[in-house]
Amino acid sequence: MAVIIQNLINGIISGSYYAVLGVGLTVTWGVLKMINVAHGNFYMMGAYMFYTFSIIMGFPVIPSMIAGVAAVFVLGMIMEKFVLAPSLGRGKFGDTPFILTLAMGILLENVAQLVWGETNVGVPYFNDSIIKVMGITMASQRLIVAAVAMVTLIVVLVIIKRTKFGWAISATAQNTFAASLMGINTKQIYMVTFGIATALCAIAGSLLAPIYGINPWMGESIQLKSFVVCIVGGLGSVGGSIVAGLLLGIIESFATQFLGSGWQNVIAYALVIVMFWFRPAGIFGKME
Amino acid sequence: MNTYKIFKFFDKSKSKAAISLAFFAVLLMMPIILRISSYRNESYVEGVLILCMLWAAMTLSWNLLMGYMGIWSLAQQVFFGIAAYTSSMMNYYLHLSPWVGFIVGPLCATFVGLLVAIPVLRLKAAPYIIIATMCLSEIVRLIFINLVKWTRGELGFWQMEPFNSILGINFNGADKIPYYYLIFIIFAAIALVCALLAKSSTGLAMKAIRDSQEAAESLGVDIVKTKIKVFLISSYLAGFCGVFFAHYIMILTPTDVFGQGLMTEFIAMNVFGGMATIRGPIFGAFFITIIMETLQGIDDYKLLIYALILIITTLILPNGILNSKAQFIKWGNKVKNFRIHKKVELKEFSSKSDSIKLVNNRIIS
Amino acid sequence: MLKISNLNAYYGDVQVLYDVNLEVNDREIVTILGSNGAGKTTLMKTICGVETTRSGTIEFDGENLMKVPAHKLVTKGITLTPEGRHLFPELTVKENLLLGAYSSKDKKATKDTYDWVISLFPRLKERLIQYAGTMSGGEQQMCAIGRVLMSNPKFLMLDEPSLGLAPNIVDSVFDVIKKINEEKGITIIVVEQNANIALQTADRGYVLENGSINMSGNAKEMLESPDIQKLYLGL
Repeated sequence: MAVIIQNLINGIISGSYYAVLGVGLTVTWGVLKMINVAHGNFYMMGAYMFYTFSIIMGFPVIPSMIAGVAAVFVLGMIMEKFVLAPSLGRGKFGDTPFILTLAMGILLENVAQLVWGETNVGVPYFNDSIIKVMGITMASQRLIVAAVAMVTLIVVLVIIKRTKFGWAISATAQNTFAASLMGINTKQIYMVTFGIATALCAIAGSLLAPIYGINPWMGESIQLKSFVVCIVGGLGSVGGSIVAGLLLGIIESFATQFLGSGWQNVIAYALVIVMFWFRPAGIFGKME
Repeated sequence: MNTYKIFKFFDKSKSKAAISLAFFAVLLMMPIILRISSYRNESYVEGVLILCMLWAAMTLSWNLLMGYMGIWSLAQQVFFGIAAYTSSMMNYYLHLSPWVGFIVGPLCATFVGLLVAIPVLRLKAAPYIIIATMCLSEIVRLIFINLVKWTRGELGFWQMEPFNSILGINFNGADKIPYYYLIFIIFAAIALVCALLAKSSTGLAMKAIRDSQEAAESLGVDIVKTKIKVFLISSYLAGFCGVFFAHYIMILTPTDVFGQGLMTEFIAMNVFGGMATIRGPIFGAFFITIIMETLQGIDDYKLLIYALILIITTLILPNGILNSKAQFIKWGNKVKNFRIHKKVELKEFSSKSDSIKLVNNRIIS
Repeated sequence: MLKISNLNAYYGDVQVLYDVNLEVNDREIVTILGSNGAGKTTLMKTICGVETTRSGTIEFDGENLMKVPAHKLVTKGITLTPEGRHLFPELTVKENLLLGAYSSKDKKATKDTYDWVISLFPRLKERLIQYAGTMSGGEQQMCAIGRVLMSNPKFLMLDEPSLGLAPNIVDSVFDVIKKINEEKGITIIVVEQNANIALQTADRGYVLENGSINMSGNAKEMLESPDIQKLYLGL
């Protein structure tokens, strides 16, 4: 019984940051109508920025994280404005942005390689202690990660549903032309939304950096998982990504427990394929 | 005006055929040309060209799905890899000749092609197909990594033999010529198959599906049959490339062969060169492979430059270099208009007339 | 208020509007008629600066509208209900309406306008928390017009408000159009295929065919004109 609860909790913890990553991707799709294949790479940049501020420059943890996330936010907006915006909707195959994000991803990986080197670098844990409650063991670092992730998700939800700006984002996602007629500067919305998505990646990256270490290719493994979360939850649905993220975390946790770590991803991906068979639009997605 | 004439020349089908023949003829003669001119490093150039042809063939096979049919299948390397591993493992464990690999490998690849096609049939929108195929590739990659006992996982499988001698031609030495001509045959054959397919009724059906599935269906195109057919052909062709690769490079790892890195290269080559043509993938593959080889010296910056090239080309020429004739003409016209406009402006100002009119109204707003 | 001269528009290399000249005076209702494909929606899009390359002059209250990007139009007091309504389907009626006031800074004025709009469209009042995408065509049209009124515009363009609506609903829509014009003095352009009701409501009219204006005049006179009757009223 304790094993089950332990796995459940571990699953929720990892699910929470999967959810953060999934939300970023789903928002990018919902508003900009494109798939960002460099999503994982912004995660990696977030981790490196955090590393730069906290280790190289020696700032304390919390300001470093905030600065790192802000830096990636700006980076995301710049890339949107100069690389993506000119291309949206052009070319015979309107999926040009996909290729551009692919190239952007390679670019980021290599810049990271050049700037910070190829070897793994580390960032110390925020908190070293281990908590034991009723036979369940948890590293407090992981609890912090989960807590920050959940707070982030709540903030995002509040922004989207309650603020004027959030409405502008929803409106732009649903009907760009009408949105501009309402006075919404859709180009700006695209830029800021992309920035928010990359910032979310950066948050996840900074949180996980102490646990998994940092290297230029860390984004690759997280990339597909973010996609899985986004699609299973339903493209464009923030709530869907949250639910799907938590589910993925829990499934992975149990799969690792009973099948070993090599196979956990296989199970996850296989489930996605099965899911596509029965409900391609995702849990909360619209059937087309 | 001159640019227009040049394009007109390239448009004639006779010129097109002539250029294609010339291209293949030069490729065929390359090793001989290299030896005659006593260029010291023939083996190196041949090696590069072998890779060019290999990747060109792969990109052509992917182009069938992506360029002609509009299906964002990111699993092409899986067909490649499955054939490679099948041939290698059968060679090592069952002592089958690598030449038999050419029969078994593509068949296995085709089987996997069918497996990939089935979920893809269900999905209509690009992002779903992208994710599904990426997941499938990852599943295959992870399976091969985990079944270390048979595949040796990430340690690499190098136990396969090179092609055994046939008709007295020895494949074992440092001489690349046998490999060169083998891949040349494969490459030329694949190019021919793709060209024929594109011109056939299936080719028309493919393009119809790409442009509008509903319209195609209403016109009587059997979508399911066409998609499956093209998947089977595409994976079969990719299989041949995989078998060659295995017994040429002589080492396979799951990540190298099933990973998205390889797939990304095919995407880049196809997009850069231009989709839905035969010359596009070939041009893209050759260009990118050669550039990457030339940049080997600046190893650190190689991928960076690669990414920048991709970004810039996609922004300026979203249809690929060889498909952008219309765009080049437009630019030519714009430059022409600009020059005429400038001339008129100067004339009007200097004549001090009362009303100033501009020749091309478009320039005002 | 609005003066368009020598307007030419192109989708890429294809010309779609040829030397269009038209004028709308303060507090007028002007209708633009024409059959399918005549270029009416293109004209609306061109005025907004969306999708077409254009040349010529568009003057609004003395200001050159060509320099104004689409999302700033509402700040100048210009609004458009596009063809097909273009509501935000996953937002409620109330949220759609409130979005109409996105650009306005005056909370009090918005509240007053909101009350007025609700009084204009009692059917909407019943459906405030309903998702806009689930309403009937007539209700959506009401919502679209209401939304556009929320910004207190000076100038309103309606693209085919009668599209897909039952005749009695069309009547009520045009009643509302007349009402807004009378009560608030909003200048209106109505682009319509339904020439009958359009000419009955408007002060003046233009006819757009194949991208150019080929007739204009007083609405009542146009209604009587045998040409219009034959071509557009099916008489």
